[in-house]
Amino acid sequence: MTQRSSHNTWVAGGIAAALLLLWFVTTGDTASGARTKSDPEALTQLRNAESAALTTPYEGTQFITAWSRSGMATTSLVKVTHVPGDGTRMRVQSTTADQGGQMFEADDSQHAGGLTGYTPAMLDLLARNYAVVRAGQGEVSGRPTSVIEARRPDGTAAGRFHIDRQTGLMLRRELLDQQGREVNLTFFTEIQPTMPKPQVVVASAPRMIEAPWAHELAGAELGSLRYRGWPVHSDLPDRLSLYDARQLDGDGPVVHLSYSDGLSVVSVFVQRGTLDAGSLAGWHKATRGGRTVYLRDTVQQRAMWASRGYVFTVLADAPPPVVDSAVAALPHGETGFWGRIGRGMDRLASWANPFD
Amino acid sequence: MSHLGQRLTALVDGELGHAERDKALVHLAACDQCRAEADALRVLKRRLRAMGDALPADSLIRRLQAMGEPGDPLPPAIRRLPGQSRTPAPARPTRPRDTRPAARRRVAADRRRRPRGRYLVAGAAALAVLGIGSAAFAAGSEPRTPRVSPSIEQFAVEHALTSGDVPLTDPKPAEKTSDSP
Repeated sequence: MTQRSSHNTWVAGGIAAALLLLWFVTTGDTASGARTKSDPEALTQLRNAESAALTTPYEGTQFITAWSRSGMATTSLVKVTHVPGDGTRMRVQSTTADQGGQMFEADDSQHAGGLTGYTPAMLDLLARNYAVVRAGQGEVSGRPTSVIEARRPDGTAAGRFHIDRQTGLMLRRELLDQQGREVNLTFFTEIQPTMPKPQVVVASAPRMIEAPWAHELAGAELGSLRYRGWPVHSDLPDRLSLYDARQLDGDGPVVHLSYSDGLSVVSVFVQRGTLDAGSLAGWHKATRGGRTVYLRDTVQQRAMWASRGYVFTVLADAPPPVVDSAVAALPHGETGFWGRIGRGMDRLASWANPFD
Repeated sequence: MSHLGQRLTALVDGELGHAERDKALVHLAACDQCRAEADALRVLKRRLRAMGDALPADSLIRRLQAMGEPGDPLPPAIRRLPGQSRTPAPARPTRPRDTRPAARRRVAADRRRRPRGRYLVAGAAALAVLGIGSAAFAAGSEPRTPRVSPSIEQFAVEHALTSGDVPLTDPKPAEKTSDSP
C-alpha cells in the first residue's frame, strides 16, 4: 500500500514537472528563447560582413527601395566604390531621387558602418530579439551567397541577409513584415570585388560625410535630460530599445535618440520649440496610432509634430505598424490642467527659494 | 500696441535673452499697463521670497496646537417614539446642572467657543489653497519657446550614420506598384 502511494506521488510529481517545463517553453521570455535558438556561426558571419566591407576593395551599384503602407515604392540607385584604408565613395544616381550628388565616408571615420544596415549594437539587439540562423544558399548578381535569416518566435522570417561566400560582403538585405512582404530592400545589382579604377575614384569634389554628432549622451546626461522634462524613453513598443543617443550642441540643441530591435531602426529627433509652419511644405497631415502628425514617405518613413514645447521628427526604416506604435508612444497634445498647475508650483517655489 | 502678455513672467524670472529683454524693457517704458503688471509680479515674487524668513505669530501657533486636542462629544441622536409627531418638541436642556467649580466651567466654555476658530482656520486654509492654486495656474503658462524648422537633410544623414546605411538625400516617390505590399 505504501509502495503504491509512493509510486503515485512520483508520477504526479513527474507530470507536474513536465507541465511546468512546457509552460516555461511556451510562455517564457521569448527573447531568451530567441537567444538560445540563434546559430553562433550565423551571427559571426553577420559580424564579419561589417569588417569585410572595410577591408575589401569593390565597386558596384546598390539598389535601395522601400514600400509605404499605400504601396508607393521609393527607390534610389547608388554607385558605390570602396578603397581599403581610404574610404567609401557614394554617388546617388537618377531614378526617383530628386537630389543626387556624391558623398565620401572615410574608413577611419568614427562610425564607418560599411553599409551593412546595422551596427555592432544593433547586432546585439538582433541576437536578443530574434533567432538568427543559417537558411541555405542563394545568389545575388551572379555571385553565390550564404543566406541568414532573423526569425520571430513564431518562426516567420523578419529579416534576410545574403552574404557573399567569397568575400564576406553583404550583398542583399531584406526587411519583412509579419505577412512576409518586403518593407525595405537593399541589394547590389552589380558588384566587382576588385580595386576600383582610378578615374572612378578621382571624381569631382564629393560632399564629405561627417561622423555622427560627437556629443554622445551617457546615462547620467540622459537622466539629467529626463529630469529637465525632455521626453527620453528607454524603450518603444515592438521591442525597440534605445541603443544610441547623441546631441547636436548649439543655440537650439537637438537630441537624437536611436531605437532598434536589431532590424528596424527608428530615429527620434527632439528639439525645444514649436513647429514652424513653413517647414511643413511637402508634408501631409494624417492620423497615426490615433495621433495627428505630419508625414512624408521617402526611402525612410518620416513623421513630424510638436507637443508640450518640443518638436519631434521621426525617421524610420521599419514596417509601418512598428512606426505607428512608436509615434503613438511619444508625447502628443498639450499640457493639461494639472500639468500646468505643477509647472506653476515649480516656478513659484523657484521664486520663493533664495538660493535659486 | 500689443502687450507683453506671457513674456512678462519670463522677464520677471530673468529668463529672456538679451535681445528679448531689451525689447521688453523698451515696451515697458512706453506701456503703463504692462509696467503695472510687471510691478505687481515683482511684488508677488518679493513677498514669496520674504515668506521664507517670516515666523508665524504666537497666537497662530497656539490656535494650530489647539486644533490637535479632542473636541466636544457629539449630541445624542434623537429617536422618535411611535405616535410622536414629526415636529420636534421644544428643546429642553438635557444637560445636568453644572456642579463643577467655576474654573473648570471656564475651560468648558472655552472648548465650546473653539469650533468658531476652527472654521476660521479652515476658511483661511481654503483661501490660501485657492490663492496658491490660482497663482500656480497663472505662473504655469507655457514657456516661450522658439519656432524651429527641423533640418531633415541633416537628420537623414545622422540617421543613416547611426544605422549603417547609405545617407540618402530627399527622393521623390515613384509610381504605385502593383506587386508591392
